[in-house]
Order: sequence, then C-alpha cells, then structure tokens
Amino acid sequence: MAARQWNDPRLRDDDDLARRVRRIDALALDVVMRRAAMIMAPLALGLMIAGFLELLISDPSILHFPGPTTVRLDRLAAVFARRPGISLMSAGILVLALVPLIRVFVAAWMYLRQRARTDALVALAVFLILLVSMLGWGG
Amino acid sequence: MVELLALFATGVAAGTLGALLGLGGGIFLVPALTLLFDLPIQTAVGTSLVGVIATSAGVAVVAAKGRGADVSLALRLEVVTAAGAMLGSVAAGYMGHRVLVILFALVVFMTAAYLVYKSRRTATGVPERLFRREYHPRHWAAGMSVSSVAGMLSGMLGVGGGFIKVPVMYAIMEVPLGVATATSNFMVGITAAASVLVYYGRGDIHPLVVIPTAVGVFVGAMLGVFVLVKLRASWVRTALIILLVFMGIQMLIRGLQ
Repeated sequence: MAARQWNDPRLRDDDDLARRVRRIDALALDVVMRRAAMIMAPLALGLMIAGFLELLISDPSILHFPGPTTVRLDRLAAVFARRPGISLMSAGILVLALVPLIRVFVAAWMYLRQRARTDALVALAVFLILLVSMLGWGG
Repeated sequence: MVELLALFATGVAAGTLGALLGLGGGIFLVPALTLLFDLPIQTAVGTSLVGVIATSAGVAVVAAKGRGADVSLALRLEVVTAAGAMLGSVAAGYMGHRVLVILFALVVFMTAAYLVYKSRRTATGVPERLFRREYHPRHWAAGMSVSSVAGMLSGMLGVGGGFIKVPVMYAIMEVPLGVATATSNFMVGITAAASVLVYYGRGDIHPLVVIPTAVGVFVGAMLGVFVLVKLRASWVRTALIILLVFMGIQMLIRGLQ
C-alpha cells in the first residue's frame, strides 16, 4: 500500500492518516515476525531430524515406544557427548518452543522503534512470562 | 518403528480434523494419544502443546501477509493468558490422571456446543464484515478474565483455547469475527509456549512421541485447509461434532473407571 503525503487532499482528517500509518506499521511488524519464524522453525525441524537420524544409525534399539524423555536445558551440553541423538532432538524441541518467544521479543523491539511505548511494555511483559516459564521449569 | 508411523498418522488425522473445524489439533490429538496409545494424559498434553507451536509457527510462515491478527490486542490478552497457561501446566503436575481426563471430556463437550452455536450463527445468513478496519475492543476486564481461564485450560489440557478466545473477543469485546479468529490463531502459539516448557522440565515430553506427532499435526493442518474447500462444510461440521461427542464420552468413561 503506497503511503500518502500528510497534506494529500484526499485524506479527510488526521485520523485517516493515523489509521494508514498504523496499518503500515502493522504490516512491517508482520513481516519481521514472519522472518523470525522462517529462520527458527526450519532450524528446529533440522535439529529434530538430525537427532532422529543419529539414533536410527547409532542405536536403533532405542527407537521403542514411548522412548526416553527430553534432556533438560542445563544438562544439554553435558549429555550431548554421550547421547547426541536425544540431545539434538531435545534441542530441536526447545528451539521450536522459542519461536513464539522470539516473535514476542521482535514485536517488542518493533513497537519500541515505532514509539508505541505501551505496546512495547505489554510485549516485554509477555516475553518475561515466557522467560520465567523457560528458566523456571524448562532448564 | 510401527508406533512412530502410527503417531505420524494420528497427528495428520488430528491436524486435518482440527483444520476442518477451525480448531487446533489438540482437541482430537490428546484423546487419541490417551485412548489409542494408552499414554498418560500429561504426556499427551505435552505432545499436543508442541504440535500447537509447530502448527502456529508453520502457519506464520505460509499464511498471507497482513490479513487479520491484531497483534496489540493479542499481546494485551496474552499477559493473562500466558500466565494462566503457566499456572495451569504447573497445576496439571499435581492433578491426577483421572481428574484431567474428566476435565478434558467436559472441554470436549463445551467445544461441541460451541461448534453447534457457531453453525447456527452461520445459518442465520446475516452478512457481516469479518475484517472491519475500525473497531474498539471493549469490556477488557471480562475479556481478560475469561482469557486467563482459556490459558489455564490450554496449559492443563493441551488445547489451543480458540473455542473460548474467539467468542470472548467477538461477543464480549466486540472485535470483528475475522480479526478475532486471526488474533486467536496468533495467540495459541504463545499460550502453548508458556506451558510446554513446564512439561519439558517435568519430563513429560518424549521426543520419539512428540516429533512424528507434531510433524503429522502440521502436515494435517495444511491438508485440512486444502480439503476444506472440497467438502460441504455443514456435513463435515455435523460429522465432526458427532465424533467429538463420541470422544468426550469415551474420555469420561475412561476417567470414571
């Protein structure tokens, strides 16, 4: 959508310009959040597939139902040497769980750039809740 | 290996059915994992939540740009919804399997009732604009109170909560229906993320269960959107409402035994 000049006679009043500016801002936010998902989601999928293939090659006997549980975040690096397959799959699930968190952080950053302070504070509050959930229980 | 393929197929079925009804796959997936695979409901819920995030992330990548979600409204509601989800997932660790199963059965019945209400609304034939540009959300206190309940149910039961969030935004907060639906779709991934890490830390997530199921749910959701245009919506809705009621009864029997 092309932006119009503030003194365009086709604009009825300042509210109309404000609505158009908000729409452009909303589209910009949508684009940036989409890009974050486009990077994180394939990375998560790649880690999960890599971990699964590693298990399939190195220790197919572990492929039973329901199988082992995930590795906690604080033990991921330590366990990787002994059980790389499970560690990679756990890391993939964690990266996937981070996608919404990153999208919220990106929204907060974009709102700050657009000087929408209230929206930025709200986004940061949601980000903190997700962070508490991750660090309090996920790790 | 057979179980992994069966999990993938279950995920595809749940994702497809969910997409046909405009719901997430969780409402079908959790009962399927509990009834067919005999998994503990906490494991089924954790699996479903990962599937919700996977679908939400996938839809974010492939969906049309700029159509619908009110991100500002979504994030304001998410303050209480995400907090509710986190509390719900913590509470689920202290609740027994039977209690959660019975609670899930009640939610399934509520979802079926919501779908009946939605189909009757559609049948009145009153046209309305789904994506009005100008609207002002109202009744924030009521909206946020009910959204926190939706978050708790999501955290406890692994459902997206859209069957509560959409009516709340539309009927209580006076948000256009199309915006409410798109905003709810945006919110479900964040709500699920607030609770999935609790299940992760508690050891309720098994990668060999989660990965084929979550991939299946995502594939099914994409397939469901494609299939929906080929089928008669009213027949599909009626058939799936009957399926939901049947599943709810099975869950109730399982919980009361």
